[in-house]
Amino acid sequence: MTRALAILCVLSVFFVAAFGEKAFSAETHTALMAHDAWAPPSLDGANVGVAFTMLMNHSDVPIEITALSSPVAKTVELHDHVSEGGKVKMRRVEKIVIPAQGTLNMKPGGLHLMLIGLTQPLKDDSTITIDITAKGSAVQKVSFTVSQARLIEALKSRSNSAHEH
Amino acid sequence: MKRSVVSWLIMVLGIAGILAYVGPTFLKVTPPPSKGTGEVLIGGAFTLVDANGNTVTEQDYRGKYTLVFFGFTHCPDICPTALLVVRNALDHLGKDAKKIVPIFITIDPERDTPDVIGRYVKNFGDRVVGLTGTPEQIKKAADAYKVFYAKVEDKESGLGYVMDHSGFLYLMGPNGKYLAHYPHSIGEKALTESLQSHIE
Repeated sequence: MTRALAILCVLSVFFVAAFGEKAFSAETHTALMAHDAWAPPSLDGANVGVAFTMLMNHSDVPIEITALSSPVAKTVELHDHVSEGGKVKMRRVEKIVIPAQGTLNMKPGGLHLMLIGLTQPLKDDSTITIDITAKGSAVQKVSFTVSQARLIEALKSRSNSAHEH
Repeated sequence: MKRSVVSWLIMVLGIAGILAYVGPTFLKVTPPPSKGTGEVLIGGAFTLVDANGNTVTEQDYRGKYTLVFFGFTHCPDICPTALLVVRNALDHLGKDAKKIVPIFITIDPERDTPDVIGRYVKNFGDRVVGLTGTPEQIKKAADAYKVFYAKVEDKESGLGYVMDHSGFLYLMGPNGKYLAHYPHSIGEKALTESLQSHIE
């Protein structure tokens, strides 16, 4: 059984590799669009920031994001939150793929862009740029609005039950 | 060929499904018992360091309700949003807010020095107390509150490591005894109402 599973895993990796190669070679630069790009103001004492957007893939092939960068941070990474039974884990997403005609939706408490090593504070009502590079296409400069109001709006959707776990 | 690919896919999806179903039950963390189950052993003695570098213990907060929670400054949004909710809930409490001291204890003392934690909590007004300490002091405080935390190395990340932690807020009475706990994702209305119901 273990052996069968191992073979299965290997084969599925081959399958994805073969299929992926073909898919990612397609022209993708106009297919990827960023919507509702925003970031909360950075906090004094923290040299990290966070930013959110919804990436939409309007093409019929998956799009892989190969590079993220910004003039306001040393490193930009996509991270995810996993919250289970009151335990919170944050993990870097190693391979970022947006499915064909699909979306990658970032939001507080979920997927988010980590701006690590801020070179300047993110000030309310300002704009920052994050460069997003998709495999096989040019760098896309996405403007993110720094907004405390937007953060407060996002907080309103939080649960108001004291006893959900 | 086409058919075998489809059947492989179905099998892969099936296994992924089983893992997704089984995984969380293995990883489940039991929240601390609530009121009504007898004496709750949450909280206790701690020795930590405040933003000015002074040593503080739980005795320094006797006579006040404390809202204790653990986090860290490199926490992208769970800690800041919880702090924002706490600040807003205390604002809603008006005069009664003076009876409660929110205490934010870092689980990442390596990065969160007294200066860093002090500046960080100031983002949320003047009420929140930020505490740090040696790794041993932090461990002891976290153990007292049955708080789970772990440092997870990620050498490829610009962060170097990330922190896992349990995200509960604990309301402790003026005598230091446990009164209630809340998930980090609690809304400000629910928190305000519960705080109101507990404080006298």
